[in-house]
Amino acid sequence: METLAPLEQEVAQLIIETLHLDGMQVSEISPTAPLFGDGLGLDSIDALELSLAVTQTYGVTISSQDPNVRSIFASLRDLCAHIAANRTH
Amino acid sequence: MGDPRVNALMPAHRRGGPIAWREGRTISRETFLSQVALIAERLPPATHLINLCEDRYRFMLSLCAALVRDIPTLLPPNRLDATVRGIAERYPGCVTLSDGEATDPSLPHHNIHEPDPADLKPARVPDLSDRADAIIAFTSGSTGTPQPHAKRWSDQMRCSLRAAERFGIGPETNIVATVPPQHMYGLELSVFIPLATGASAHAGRPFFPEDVRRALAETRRPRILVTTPVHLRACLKAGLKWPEIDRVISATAPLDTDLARSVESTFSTQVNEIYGCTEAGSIASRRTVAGPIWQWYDGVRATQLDAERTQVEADFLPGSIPLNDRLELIDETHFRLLGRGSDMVNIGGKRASLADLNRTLNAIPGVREGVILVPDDRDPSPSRLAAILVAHGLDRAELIARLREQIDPVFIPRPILFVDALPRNEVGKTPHQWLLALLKSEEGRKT
Repeated sequence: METLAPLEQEVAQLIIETLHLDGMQVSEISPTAPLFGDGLGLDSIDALELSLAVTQTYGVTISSQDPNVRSIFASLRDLCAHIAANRTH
Repeated sequence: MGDPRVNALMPAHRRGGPIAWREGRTISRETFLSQVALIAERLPPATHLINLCEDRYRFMLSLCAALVRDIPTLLPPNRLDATVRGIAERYPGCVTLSDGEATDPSLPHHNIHEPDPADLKPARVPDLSDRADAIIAFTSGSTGTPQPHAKRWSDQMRCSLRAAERFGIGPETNIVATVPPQHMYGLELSVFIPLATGASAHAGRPFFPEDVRRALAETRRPRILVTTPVHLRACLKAGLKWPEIDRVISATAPLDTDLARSVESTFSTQVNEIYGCTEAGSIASRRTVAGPIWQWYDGVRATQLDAERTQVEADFLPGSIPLNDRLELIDETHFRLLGRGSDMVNIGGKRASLADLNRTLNAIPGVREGVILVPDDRDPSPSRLAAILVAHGLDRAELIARLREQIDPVFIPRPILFVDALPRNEVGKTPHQWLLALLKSEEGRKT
């Protein structure tokens, strides 16, 4: 498994805590695997929860008006790229 | 109110009014009627049409075009390929309609887009044949096979007029909905009501809180937000600056009174809940903060058959519809919701309400979310219950010990399946057959 960049580790931890993926380790989340559907098996309600956590932690508001909103949540790495480019804190 | 032309496509049509909003602009009823006429002309021959459009306005166009062509519309309970294919197989000659790429190349597909303005010709409000199966909505079906429920257009228009009366919705009202138009609740509140009353609906299906805020801001007051408890909770937490919302309507899952109170104070609004089911549509409402008493829509008559069963009749229903819930009828217009009737289980000669068992399970410290259920739906006297739950720092032994303190040992579930999250569909519900499938797959893994 690929090693995670520092922000990826942080966001992986946020995902585990927010979505109560108990028993899961940060190292088990592949940075490039899909978060939804087949990957971590997250659903649309998780997307809502995760978007709130990202807003509260990094000041990044996620909206369907963002170009390619689907790709923001495509993988941990994509989500981190979006956070890095838009974070306010 | 007089007797509107309920078999017309738009009983409350008036010239010049809008029917939908998109990106801050309105779409007029004249444009809509012309587009419906053209799309109807261009529909391929079909026995039935499965409407999968995601954009609410294009959904409305497709539905109305199908009505004009007198082709029944099928509304699957979810968009999963397997579900859509299963329904398509039961209706040979059907065609899927969507506003994007066909997701399943094995099914005949027709793409819906808004016609070129240059092609549009003025069109009048058409009268419909008012067939009994104009719209067929499917429930997920606890048996695993989606069950069809046929709807007559004039009945839907009558029901929408009752709902509009209850919630003060009129031609000036603008509706923003987070629920899909294929779901009975979203269909009634964001598609039928605009057609029946002259109100307008936002074309989008806002999902994230920022989407909801933007959609509301793009419309004028009076605004109504049609949503679910899950979305309300997210919107409250998002810390956004909200435009005025004149009324919030919630359905699909019970709304917690505290949540309703927070929504009322944060948005300076009134929160109403709708009671209904796919079989009957919406039939009652309450203001959540005012207490547990529900009020039937005008014209709904309920009859208590016995302690477990209630049925309803109304001039917008095709006959008596049995309800799945246990109700206490207070008087002719009010009732209390006691729990789901199908929740009563008999294990080892003892009776319990699954709702009660579930309340007990979910009140145990460490249980984030859990469901106790009968592992085999078809078994009238199951030997045991099963549980699927999300829990932190709580192992099986501890959980069983806590349950034993409160419930009869016959109701202690076996197997107990610890999961990361309960499966949810797009309106945030946990379909019963998904839980059953989860149990089955877990059994398969062990053997």
